[in-house]
Amino acid sequence: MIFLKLLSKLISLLRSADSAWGIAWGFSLGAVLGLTPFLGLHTAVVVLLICVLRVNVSAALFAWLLFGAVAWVLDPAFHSLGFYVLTGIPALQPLWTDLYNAPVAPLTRFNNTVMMGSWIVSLLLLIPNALLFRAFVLRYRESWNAKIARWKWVRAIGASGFVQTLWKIRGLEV
Amino acid sequence: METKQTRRPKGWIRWKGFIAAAVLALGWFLVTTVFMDKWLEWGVEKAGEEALGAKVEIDGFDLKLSDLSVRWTRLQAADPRRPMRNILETGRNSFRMNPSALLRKRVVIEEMTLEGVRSGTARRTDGSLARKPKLARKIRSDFIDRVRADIRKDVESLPKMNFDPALFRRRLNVDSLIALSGIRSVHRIDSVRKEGIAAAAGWAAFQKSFRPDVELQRIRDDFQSLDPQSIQTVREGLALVDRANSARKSLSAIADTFEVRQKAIRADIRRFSAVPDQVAGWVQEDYRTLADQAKLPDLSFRAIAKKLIGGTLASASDFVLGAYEGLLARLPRKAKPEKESRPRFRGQDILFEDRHQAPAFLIRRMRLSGRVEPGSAYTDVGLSGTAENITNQPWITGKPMTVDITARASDGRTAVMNGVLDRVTEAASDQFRIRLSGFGLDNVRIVNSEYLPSVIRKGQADIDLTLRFRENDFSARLNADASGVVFDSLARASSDLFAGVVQSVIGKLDRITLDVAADRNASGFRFGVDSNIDEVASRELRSLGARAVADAEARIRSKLYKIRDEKLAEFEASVGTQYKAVGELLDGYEKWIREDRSLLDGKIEALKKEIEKRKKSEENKLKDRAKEALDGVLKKQ
Repeated sequence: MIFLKLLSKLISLLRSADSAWGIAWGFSLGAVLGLTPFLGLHTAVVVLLICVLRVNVSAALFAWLLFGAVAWVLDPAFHSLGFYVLTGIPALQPLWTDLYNAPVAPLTRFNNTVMMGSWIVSLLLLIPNALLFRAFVLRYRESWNAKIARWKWVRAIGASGFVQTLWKIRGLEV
Repeated sequence: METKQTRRPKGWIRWKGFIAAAVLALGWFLVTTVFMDKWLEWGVEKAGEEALGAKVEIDGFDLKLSDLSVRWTRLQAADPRRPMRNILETGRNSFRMNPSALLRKRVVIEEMTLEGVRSGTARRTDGSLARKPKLARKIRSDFIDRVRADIRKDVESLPKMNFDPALFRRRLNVDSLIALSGIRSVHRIDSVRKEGIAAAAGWAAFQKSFRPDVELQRIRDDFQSLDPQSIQTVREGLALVDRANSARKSLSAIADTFEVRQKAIRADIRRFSAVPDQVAGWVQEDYRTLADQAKLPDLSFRAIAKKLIGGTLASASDFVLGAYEGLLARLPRKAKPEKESRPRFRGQDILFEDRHQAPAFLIRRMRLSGRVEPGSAYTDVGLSGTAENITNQPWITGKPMTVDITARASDGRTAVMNGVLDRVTEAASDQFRIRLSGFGLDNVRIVNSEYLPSVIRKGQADIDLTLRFRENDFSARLNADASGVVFDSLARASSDLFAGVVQSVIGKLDRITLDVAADRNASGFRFGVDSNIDEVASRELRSLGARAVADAEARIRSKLYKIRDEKLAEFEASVGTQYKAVGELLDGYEKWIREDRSLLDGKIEALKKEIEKRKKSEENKLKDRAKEALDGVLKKQ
């Protein structure tokens, strides 16, 4: 049921009239929230950006959920990456020490291995995520939407009474 | 199925979202301002309960964000062992947090004053927790357990104080006692004698087969009379050196053979010459066996006090070590930054150099004053003290945590506790000193003592206890000076004479002094108890049983020594003379070889010098002849 809800949410999102960039950046910022631990100053900043910037909030929520699950799997890798960055690169030690002694910066929990590892990954993925998801939205709208609608099993499922009822409930017209 | 037409973008800023975010932020601020106090109060109470194992309640908790001050009207922490009483209760208190440190995620409190601190106050509600908190992790428990086990083992292994009154009424039959118990030293001496006889056969064979006397004498005769000055020519000298070198080779061959064969014999000699000393130990063992069999008491009585109150000391040490172990679990400890395996999403916090010397949590100085509530065993005791450098990261401040607390009762009794918890380096070191003056001994229980009543009815003592812990080193010193000690039911009937004597001695003593020392370190464990009880009780017991026991002791010893002397004489006759003779022979050969070697070396050296001298003289002569010949030739021309 949850999967269907998410799927319906995604499809309605892709087929919505919102701009592709808005959806893509919403998805990308949501990915940052999902990949990084919730408790931290950065969460407030990203949530503020999602509210203030004209990005798609539904896409952000969807990405938050999706990447939250991914982060659970990648957590040990984030820990290792964070440990290496914080302790294994001598050139960065002065920077970390400065931040550690600066006001406010320690409140971001940058010195936590999982936090640092997940930050690096989410920041590296920020722009690629936006570009890829925008390309995906455009491709879907241009060609995949019609193709998918023609698939026999999609039409069969769409014609079933149960799904019809469900779509009606979800406000979707097949 | 068509997608909807894409809307035209209206700029990047969503003003409605901006207002929503501002409303959200304002709501968050209002909610936290309203509920922050409750939230923090709940957090502090839960943390306190986790640490203490009993209810911790704070009333009127108030956090003022404007000046970062915290205040409460009352704090009470229940006693885990007596849940209807508080182990600690404070009145109104307040302190301020350092704002700049707080922005760096550090809670620094420069000075905190806890006034109206009381202990032992009654509670209206039960202070026990419905659900027991998770046990704190144990640290260094293995070491503490080893110390506990060592103290218990030491106390339990003390010998039983046999003091049978029947001993004084009967005359000991030593012969039947020996027949009953047997004497191991006799068998041991016989066994060594047999081995000695077998070894002596080997020595005789050596003496027969190894006869270097003739060769050694020949070398000596040959070279002793030789005078290097008597050499006529260089050639003659060189021939003599060759002969001396050849003789030296022969001497070395003799010395090598001697060295190999003498090693085994010398080992035998060392072993058999140590027998008389070994026999003394064997006889002492036999004496102890016979004395145990005869139920003779140990009249040295060096460990009476240890035997009397060892159980109580072990029990007290269990309590003290348990308390320290509990404390250890809550004390910070510096560790090397190694990658840890942490729960998911938690990660590991890496600590960097702190330029502000401010740890995550620090109370630089805490003053406390208050009193122990009147009632129960305590009567109106005033408390005052300071604690400095209370922190979770003492290696950042570079200062150990110190605690100084004084408790003073209205009747003049005092208790002073000083503690230094040094966690500045990776090698943790903790030290505590507790001085109690006029400490009440009323109704103090004496644990597991066969010889004393189980309770002290009344009395008081001055006690000075020092405890030191450093990694795997433990040291404890206890000095106690007790006076006016009255035991419960001292006159209880006892068939054990020792118990009776000890009880009567303790009953007569005005003062009981006690010096306890326990150390555990790399070299092992030592637990000693010195007391005036030892000396006085020992004197009393000696005067009671001295003659009978001394007589029995003397007869056992005399019999044993007689047997020992006979057996040693047999050993001396069959083995002793032999190893002494062969030893002298070996010494003689050794000396002979050494002298011959020295003689030969001296002669060779003298010969070489003489040859050198002659060579130089011959050279000079040749030079003179050549010069003369040259002069003659020149004159002719």
